[in-house]
Amino acid sequence: MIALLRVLLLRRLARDRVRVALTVLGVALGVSVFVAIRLASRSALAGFGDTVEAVTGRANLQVAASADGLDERLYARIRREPGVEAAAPVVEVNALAHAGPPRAVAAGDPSAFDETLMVLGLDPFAEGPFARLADEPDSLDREGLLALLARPATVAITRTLAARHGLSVGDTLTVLASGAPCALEVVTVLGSEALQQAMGGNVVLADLATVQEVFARGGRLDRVDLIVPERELERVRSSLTAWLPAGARAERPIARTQQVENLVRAFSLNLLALSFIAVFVSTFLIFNAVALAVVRQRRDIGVLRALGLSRGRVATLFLTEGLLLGLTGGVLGAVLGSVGAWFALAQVGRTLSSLYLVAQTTRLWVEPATLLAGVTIGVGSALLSALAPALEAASTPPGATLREGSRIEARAPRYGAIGLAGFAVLAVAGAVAAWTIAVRQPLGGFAAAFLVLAGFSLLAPLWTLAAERVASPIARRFGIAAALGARALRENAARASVVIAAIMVAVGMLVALTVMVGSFRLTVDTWITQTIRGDLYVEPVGHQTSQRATALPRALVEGAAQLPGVAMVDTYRGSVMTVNGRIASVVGVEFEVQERRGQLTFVGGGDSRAALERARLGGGVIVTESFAHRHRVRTGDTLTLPTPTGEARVRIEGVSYDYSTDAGAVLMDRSLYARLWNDDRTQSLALYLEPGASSDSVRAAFLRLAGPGLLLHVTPNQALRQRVLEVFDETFRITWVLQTIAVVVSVLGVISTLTTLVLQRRRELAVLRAAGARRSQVRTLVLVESGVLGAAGALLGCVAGFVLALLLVHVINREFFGWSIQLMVDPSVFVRAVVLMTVTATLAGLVPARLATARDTAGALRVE
Amino acid sequence: MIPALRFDQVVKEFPLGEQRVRALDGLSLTIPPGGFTAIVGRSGSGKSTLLNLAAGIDAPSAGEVWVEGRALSTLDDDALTRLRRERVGVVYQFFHLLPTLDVRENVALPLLLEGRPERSALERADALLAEVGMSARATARPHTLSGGEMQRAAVARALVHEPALVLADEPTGNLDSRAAVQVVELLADLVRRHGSTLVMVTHSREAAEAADRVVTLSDGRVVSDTAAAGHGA
Repeated sequence: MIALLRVLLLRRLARDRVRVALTVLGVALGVSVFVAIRLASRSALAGFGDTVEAVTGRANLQVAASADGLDERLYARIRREPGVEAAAPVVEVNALAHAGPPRAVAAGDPSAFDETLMVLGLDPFAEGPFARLADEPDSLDREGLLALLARPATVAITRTLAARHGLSVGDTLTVLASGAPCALEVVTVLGSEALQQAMGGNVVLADLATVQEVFARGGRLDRVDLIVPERELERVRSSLTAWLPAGARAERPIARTQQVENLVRAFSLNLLALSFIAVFVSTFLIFNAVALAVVRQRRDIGVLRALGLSRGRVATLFLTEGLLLGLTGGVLGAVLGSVGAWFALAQVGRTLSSLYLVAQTTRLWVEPATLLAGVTIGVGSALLSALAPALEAASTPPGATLREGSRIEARAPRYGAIGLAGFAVLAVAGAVAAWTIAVRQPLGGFAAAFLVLAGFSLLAPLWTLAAERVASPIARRFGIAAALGARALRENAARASVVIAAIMVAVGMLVALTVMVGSFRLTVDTWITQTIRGDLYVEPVGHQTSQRATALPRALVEGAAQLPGVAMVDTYRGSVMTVNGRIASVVGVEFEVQERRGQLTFVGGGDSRAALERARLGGGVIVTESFAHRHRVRTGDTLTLPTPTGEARVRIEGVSYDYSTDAGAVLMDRSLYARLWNDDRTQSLALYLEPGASSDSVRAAFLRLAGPGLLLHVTPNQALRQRVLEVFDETFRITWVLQTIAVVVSVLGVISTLTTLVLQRRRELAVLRAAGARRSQVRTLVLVESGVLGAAGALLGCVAGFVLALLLVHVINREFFGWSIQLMVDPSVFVRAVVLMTVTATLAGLVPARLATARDTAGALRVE
Repeated sequence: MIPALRFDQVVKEFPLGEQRVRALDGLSLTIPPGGFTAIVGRSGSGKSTLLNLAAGIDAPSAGEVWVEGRALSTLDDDALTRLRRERVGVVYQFFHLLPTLDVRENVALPLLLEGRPERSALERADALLAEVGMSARATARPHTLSGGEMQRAAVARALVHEPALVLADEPTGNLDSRAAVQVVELLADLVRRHGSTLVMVTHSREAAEAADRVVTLSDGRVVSDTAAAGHGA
């Protein structure tokens, strides 16, 4: 068999180098997208996991805060818990920083703060058993640690950070705390290997009190790390759980990583599903490559069958072809994907960081399992695609094969039956979508989307025949060459419909995503226009990084209300809590201001003013749509929230639209927040101006009030909206990259299939030339054929895309993220997709057209 | 009088592996306008090569080919295409009808390629189809025709643009003997009526007998050039 494969298969593949290369490239691109996205997503999460592990050290249990940290007084009691061998308090804050002493920075310009650091506040005396400062106790710089304790505003930095900025003991590092640059002196450089990996070495250690003071975390701890004998762990955990307050929970350190993984699961899964589109498109390429090989070799198969080659071996021959194409494409794809992952990592990391506050990682973890999965997908999809043509080749009797050798297809496929199957699959897709909504099973949305693509693929042959009927009379007006190009679609319907299906998938996804993202963007735009009603928004530079470890000076907040031209001030304080094991935001804003000036819109309509008033007066809350979705709650339900002051039961007075994070948020009046969270400080604020007041003047007055020592973003309404939309666009940038690759793969399909069809029809083209057709006419024929392929595929793709858009908007987004999106369809999307694909496919036809006109006419006519 | 076709010391070589095979070896031949010349010879004697060179779809390795006094080596691709489209008609052994076109459109193809309005091209095709007795099958697709019908349609296509020179490459090679006789008679009759020159390559003795002149090739050279029985040389 091996000798047979060498003679019959490898030699042919070597001869068909160009087409083999195109097919392999298509598979490789498909696989590379999957590998790149998976590696990037996994690395982003692994980076987070590594960081958690590094900053956890040898702790095997921790008391973590469910809501805005723990009261530091709990620490002494936790340490005394029977079974606890060692305990260490930790405050953890992310902050912007730059190497060197504070320098004059233009207000609102964060670019000088070029590093994002994780600042850990620790108790050096408690650290010994946790081994996070040094790999070996002997290598610990005890003097340095003593300095941390003895001198305020001192830090220990990692060797990596020191090397990157040329910092050494005695140098200064400036961190941004609530917008104020704060100089910290480096007193020791840490050698711990684990810390070099955490956040790419961007970890800074300081004494607990220093961090609490600098970052407005007085009296609070983020967690207490514990070392407990493994056999006692469950008992200690239960015992702690029994007495810990509502705002604290005992869990294994890994739980934190798992929570973040849960949080970003929908995002990662969505991206992974998208990455499969290019793989899906590439399966059409393999199918056509192998099917065309069968067609071209039909006479040879007939001879071989007549000479005694078994059906099984014929099938093996073509399956091996699929296997080789898939394996080569898979391996190449794994390599390309590993390179692509570097670019994807930055993009995925930015989104995770802006949407889910997961610190960005720069370290790519090239996981062998993902590479293997990529190769397996390449091989698996190739074998599946090659199966039908291989069986078709094997099933043809030798006599018939010899007789029909010169025909393109052994027998005309049953287009009607295939079309009916397509409609049936679409009906199943509809049923799956309905079921998904009924049982709220998000994965069903992906299954329905796949079925839609499969259904429309099965409709492609009927569509091809219909396209020819429409295109031929039109093409005829442009001469016989154009007419012949259009008519070729009927003759080659079996092959053409596979290319049309591939284009349909690529264009379908392009249209669906464009409609979905466009609808989403308009929905978000409408939402921010309604909700962002303040005239000026104020936040300290670094607030997005440090979040709750930020507090504006009280005098500034009070002074803002007194500024001439300021009518009202809304203050904001937010934190993160864990409700039913899920991370969610909790936000305190001035409901009274919202009632009078805000425009919160509620799910199911309703009077937002009345709901806000009820919540303000009755101690209730408003939850966002995604929170309601994730926690399956609605207006009127009672919610139990973990707060630093104990469990609080609050009534939901309304569900508001919100698109800031799919983790969900609970909104409450500032007074309720201050009471439950024991915190009346302000992170950011919105200024509402008197009618006629100048935004620029108030901004200038506010900055004067803040003084030069505070770096603030004071953003006018319009600029803030712009920034929100920029973040939105950034989030979807990777989607377009994935989509472009799927379109490229489909174009490779057009080139590869048309090239083969041109070779297949070489005699027909030679007759045309002999009958007096100019080269330009032959070129026109091929270009019209490719253009019609592109247009037909794109038109079917528009229909499929619209159906997919409905699924994305009404099923996948709603069930996965809990977001309601208003479907808004811009007809130009369809026009653009058809024009783009028709032009691209026509250009793709230039390669086979060149081949068609370069053929040796006499030679083609001679061979029979 | 300008000959319809002239070969002057024509050599044509083809690569075969690392060697080169000489299909035509210094062939010289002059065919005056009008009349029916049959080219005969064993397989590999160079008959079809001669026809391809005459149609300008292949170029000689040495020597020159003239069609109606025009040296083909002096013509560029466009001029050669125009020559084929306007002055030359070809009939092939395997008919070579395009499967995407019906019979009428296949016949009209050279006119359509020339840019002739569709209506007038199809009317002209209809007239030719009537002459070859194929009017009833005008709208049929090629794969539904018998071999004889296909070749009659191919003959009509070769003559539709009233070429000065008709080249026929084994036009009876794929037909049964009865259909073969009919096609050759039809071809000869039509060419005479249209005042064209017919050069036919054939294996068939019966087909050659219908010609005015029989040229025999062997190893790429003319080995005999005689008037056929009943015709003057």
